[in-house]
Amino acid sequence: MSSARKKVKKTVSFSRNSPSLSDRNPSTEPGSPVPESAFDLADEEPKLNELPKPSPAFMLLPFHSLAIVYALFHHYNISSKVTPALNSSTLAVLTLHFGFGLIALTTIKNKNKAKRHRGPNGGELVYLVISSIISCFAAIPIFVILLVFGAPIGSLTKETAFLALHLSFLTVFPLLLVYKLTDLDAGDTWIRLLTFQVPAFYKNQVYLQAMGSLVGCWLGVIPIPLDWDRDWQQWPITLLTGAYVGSFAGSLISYLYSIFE
Amino acid sequence: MVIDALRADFLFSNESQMTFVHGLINDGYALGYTAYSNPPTVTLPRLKGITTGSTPNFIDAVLNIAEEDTSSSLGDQDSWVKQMHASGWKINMFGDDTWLKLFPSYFAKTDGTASFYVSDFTIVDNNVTRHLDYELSKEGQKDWDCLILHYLGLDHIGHKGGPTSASMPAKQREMDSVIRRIFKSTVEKDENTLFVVMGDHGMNEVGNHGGSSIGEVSAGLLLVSSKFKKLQSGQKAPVRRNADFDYFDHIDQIDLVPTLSTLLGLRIPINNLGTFIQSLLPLYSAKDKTNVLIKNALQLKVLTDKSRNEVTSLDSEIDVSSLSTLLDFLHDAKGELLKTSSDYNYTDIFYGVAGYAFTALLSLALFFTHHRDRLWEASVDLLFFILYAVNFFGSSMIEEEHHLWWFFTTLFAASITVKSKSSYCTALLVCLRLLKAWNNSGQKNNIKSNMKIATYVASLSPDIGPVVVAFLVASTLATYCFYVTEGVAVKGKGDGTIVRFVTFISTSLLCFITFSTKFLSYLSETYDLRSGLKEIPDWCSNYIQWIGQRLGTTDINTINQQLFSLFYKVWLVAIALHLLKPLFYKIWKLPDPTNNYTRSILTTFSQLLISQTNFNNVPIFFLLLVILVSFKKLVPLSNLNAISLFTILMQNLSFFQFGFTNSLSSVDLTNSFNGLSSYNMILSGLLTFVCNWAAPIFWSLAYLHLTLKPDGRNWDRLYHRLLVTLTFYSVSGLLLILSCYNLRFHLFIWTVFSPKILYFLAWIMCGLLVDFGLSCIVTALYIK
Repeated sequence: MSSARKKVKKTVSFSRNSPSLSDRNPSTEPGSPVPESAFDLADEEPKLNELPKPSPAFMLLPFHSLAIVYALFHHYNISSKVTPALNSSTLAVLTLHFGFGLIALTTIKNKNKAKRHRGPNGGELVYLVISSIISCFAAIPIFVILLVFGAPIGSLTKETAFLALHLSFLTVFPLLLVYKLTDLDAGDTWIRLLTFQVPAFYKNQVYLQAMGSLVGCWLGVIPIPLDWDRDWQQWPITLLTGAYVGSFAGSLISYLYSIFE
Repeated sequence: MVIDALRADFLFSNESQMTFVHGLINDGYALGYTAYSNPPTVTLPRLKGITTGSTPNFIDAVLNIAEEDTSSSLGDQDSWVKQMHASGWKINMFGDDTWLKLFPSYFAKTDGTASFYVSDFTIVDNNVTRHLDYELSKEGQKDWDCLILHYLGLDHIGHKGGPTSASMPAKQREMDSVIRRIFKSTVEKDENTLFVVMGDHGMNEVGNHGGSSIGEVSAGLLLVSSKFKKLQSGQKAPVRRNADFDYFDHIDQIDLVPTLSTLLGLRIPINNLGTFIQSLLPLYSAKDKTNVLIKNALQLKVLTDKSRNEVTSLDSEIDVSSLSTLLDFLHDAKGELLKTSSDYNYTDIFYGVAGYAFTALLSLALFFTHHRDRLWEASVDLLFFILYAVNFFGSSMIEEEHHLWWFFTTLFAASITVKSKSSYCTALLVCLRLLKAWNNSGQKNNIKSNMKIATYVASLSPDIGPVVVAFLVASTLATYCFYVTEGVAVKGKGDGTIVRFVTFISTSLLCFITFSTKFLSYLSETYDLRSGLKEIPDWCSNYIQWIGQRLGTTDINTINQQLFSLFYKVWLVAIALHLLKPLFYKIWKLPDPTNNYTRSILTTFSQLLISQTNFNNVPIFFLLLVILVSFKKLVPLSNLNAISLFTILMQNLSFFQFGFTNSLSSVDLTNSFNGLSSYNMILSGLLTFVCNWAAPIFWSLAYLHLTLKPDGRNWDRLYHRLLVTLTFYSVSGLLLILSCYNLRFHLFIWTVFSPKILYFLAWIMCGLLVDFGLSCIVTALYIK
């Protein structure tokens, strides 16, 4: 019982690292006393099965995230002219994401099969293209969520829309590579992914990458109101940077965890 | 002639209506300046600056509101008014009675007008202008040597409708014609007359002032005399309107003091920190130029010597025969004095901090004793308090505090909604977002990057605007009407119908009066109703006429006044009945005495709050109600800590989202005189408080609505919230005081940190007196 209990608590404690983290969410530490709290649904929830996940690998680290941040600042000069930089960088950014998808898909396949190294086949390429298209459309609900959580519209609608697109490729796209829509239980899996019900999330490299980008994006708002008068404080530069750095950090943490475990 | 809140662009820009002034400038009679007025940009401290030449004490900003106070008098301090009096000048003063408060005994003839009755634009100025007939006539002019006029109408228009208000151009033309009259009858006839037209401060984009934004500190200043024609200044008016308020030369407003004294041959007031306006030097011969500057320099030298605690002679420091060294000296001395003019009483500060620290420790001890079984919860709360309070160490976080509350509230909202599949989550989140979008509060960048729903609604065209506003206000009020009656019926007994009926009727009556007042104030502030009812749609003018007939008057201000006094009567009766309802039920042994007690209290109180809220913000109360109802569905009563935290979060978030900030300029005075026919310090103070702290009062009652239950543990639950609130304010207050002490030599100490302390005091007033008092009364009357 105690081990099962512990596991369930970790489920709840997941929300600590998610954007939904509460400054007062109790029971985030295993072993802490269970307070009377409506947030603590742990006792009523049935134990969740772990989602199937690829074992962490060096090749799954999103190095392209760092490359994109570097390019946005030094090549596209995003801090001086935001919208033109976002505009002109879109194609290159999407290509990099696509490339990461290709690498990730190959890595996952070779790990799972544990056989000799093979490249992606035609079906997988088509799946990658479809995933990219789905991710593009997923930017729309993400835009709405950003809006609800306070993103500006009006003169900044375009910037917010770009942020939504980037976020979609940082969260939905990598998850689509692992949790394919062609899988049998895809519906249940995705509902659990979207409601943050993922046990042992810290071992799930791709999931932690997506979560890292959300947390990074959430924390990225902090420098904006400061009166430093730097041009990189403009919307949405800090959020983008936070998301990209966060995605790499999330993936890295999971990878390091798997090494040192 | 002081015109309150006369911003530089009202005088000089190409959108200014003051064409006579432009003519004076072009003809060389007048010199225009953009005069920097030191914050706080409120009338009383500014008048002190203009007359004594010193920088103001911050407490004056508060005394500015407390009209009956006499401690702000300048009777003993040296000023050019005192110097004139000492030289035997006769001074007549007409206009803002702040002057009379400052100089109770120097004026020969006075007529004061109260400066806080802001809804009146015309009478307040006519009361000044009516004296001109006599004072400017031949025999009248013999009776005075100095005439001070202070016009308030322009400031009132700003407070009510902002710098682009429909009444603004007409007021500027009126002021222009007054300037023309004075010019024609004095300056033109006598070349030894000096005529000064100035604003005591400016106003920001929404017409308020008190802070330090560029619009508030850029007052206009115009010096008029026939002698200035010699100067050949070559100024050309109007100047193109620009966002930096860059019109002609920039000077400090206090520079007027030595300039005026010198030009009029008076002694410079001893506390003056200003310097002679350089562009007027050519009026004097070469020898006199140095004398003028030396006089100014010697006066400043006394002050610098005092601050440095050493006495040296002026000759030993600089070469007094060179104009440029003298000018440099003046400039440096002024800069040095402005920096060091603050003086701190460290003993008092120490006692204050020690007292506050003691309170904070005491409340923390109580807090942790109360939470001894839930230490984890308590430490998370404390973490939030401290995370919030460390932001006081940054000036931009104080200016943009609404961001903090938005961040914490969304964090909190996400944590309660993420696991829930209820559709109330969406309602909660969407309404929170709309609440934020309504005013997009903040002191910087709030106009540039964000749409504000309130501004959008207020600027709709006459075809659709009144309909939309009427719909929004009416639907908000109707929601409250139906919310109060839902579930009033007592099952199985016949008296339920009567209760329901009576409650519904009384609430509807209140709602109707509130609607009329809010809608009328919208119409009168958006359209020019004085020139007839042509601008507004027929149904609106019919509506006004219908109400006017019922009340037997046609003047819109009188109608509003009568409606408000009717409202107060009905409201007092209604709230008394609702508060005593459980008692009556118990006496007459009716079933379920506490039925819907808190619901009717909340609704009735909301009527008062809505009636005291600007019409722009009335629909926010609809959002608040939806947020409250959704939250009630999402979080169970057992989670008391979440409800207490939510109350604090929502109190602060909605306070800021009503458009208020931590700057004195956002204090809303428009509703302070609703239904009052004369100035009454206590009543209008109370109304000002209700108007500015409507949202915190709402949420304090909402907590009771959420937690008052017939299980006999109400006082425990109330104690829980009050303890959390007390701990929150004592911990964050301690950090605020420490931060201010630490940053007491900071550049922004008077513009950012001091207003925050004043706001914090008002918050504690709200928290301790209104919030705690009201909660205790309502809980005590909850009798089973």
